[in-house]
Amino acid sequence: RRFDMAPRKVDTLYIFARDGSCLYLRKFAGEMKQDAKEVEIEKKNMFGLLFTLKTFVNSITPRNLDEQEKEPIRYFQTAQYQLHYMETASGLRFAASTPPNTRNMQVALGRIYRLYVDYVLRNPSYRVGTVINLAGFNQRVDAYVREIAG
Amino acid sequence: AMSLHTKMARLGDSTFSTMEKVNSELLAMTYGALVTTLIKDFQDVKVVNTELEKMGYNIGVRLIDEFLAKTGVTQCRNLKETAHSIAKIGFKMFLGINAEVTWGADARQFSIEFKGNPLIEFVELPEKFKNLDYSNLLCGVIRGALHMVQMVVTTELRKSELKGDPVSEIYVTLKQHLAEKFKGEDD
Repeated sequence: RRFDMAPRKVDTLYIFARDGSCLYLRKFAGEMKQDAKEVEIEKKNMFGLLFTLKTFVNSITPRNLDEQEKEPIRYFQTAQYQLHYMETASGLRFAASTPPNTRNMQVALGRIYRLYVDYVLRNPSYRVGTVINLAGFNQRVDAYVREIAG
Repeated sequence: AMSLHTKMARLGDSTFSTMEKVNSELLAMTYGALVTTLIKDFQDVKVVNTELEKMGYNIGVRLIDEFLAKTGVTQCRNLKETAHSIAKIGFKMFLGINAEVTWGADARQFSIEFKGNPLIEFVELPEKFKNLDYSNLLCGVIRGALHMVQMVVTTELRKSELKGDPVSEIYVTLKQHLAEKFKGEDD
């Protein structure tokens, strides 16, 4: 498949459910925070930020939104990193941090969503809305992140 | 310019072509065995209808993500688009059949009409089961899927090819939109 093959380095991947619970947090670069409490704070802050950003963005949009319509956020960027975001209509939130100016991450997040459907949702032992702890999913996410890292 | 409905029909067709397929007789027989077991366990047709709907609901809450991930649909801007997505894309990709939307008594109600439901292939309803909503699973699937996109609906199998109607019909009523909330919001 012809596609922009510029390397995309995913540093961290988050998956949140609609109610704010963090279903998945994976660091591909650097170290996981050791302190469990700090990790919980990071998850809570990340979700809170994304939620607030979404509310804010929708409140100041110049467009006339239809009754079910929402403005989607794609990413925000600092000098040090870029935080990509994809929210599904079903309320799943995928967020990934990368170095700045990384393109086509919406596609990558979409692919990770497909992996979630195939390797998490379809697993009858997985209860929807709970923390994801499945070796098959981990392997495939790892493989995909490696693949796009170039 | 292509109309939105035409685009949806095309998306339904193209997604259907990428879906893994299962033998339709196997599907019909498996579903038939499921319904027969429920009848044996519960005896009461009304209870069986409810159980089928509940099963459908549990399927729907997972199926919605498969729908969204495989079609790339991000959001439906209004109820009309939602209705057509179910009929033109959903029914096509999951059941392989073409369904139509007709609008209901007011802006919050619509019907999905369809023929050739693969679940009912070879099935004949005996007289004693004339009140069985054989395809009620589909009603639950729609309710479960829509619940995951913040819509509370009721669904009803109004017409059935099994009961002699020319088409099958699922009537959907939007009860309310759920607002975004998350735990700890009031912290």
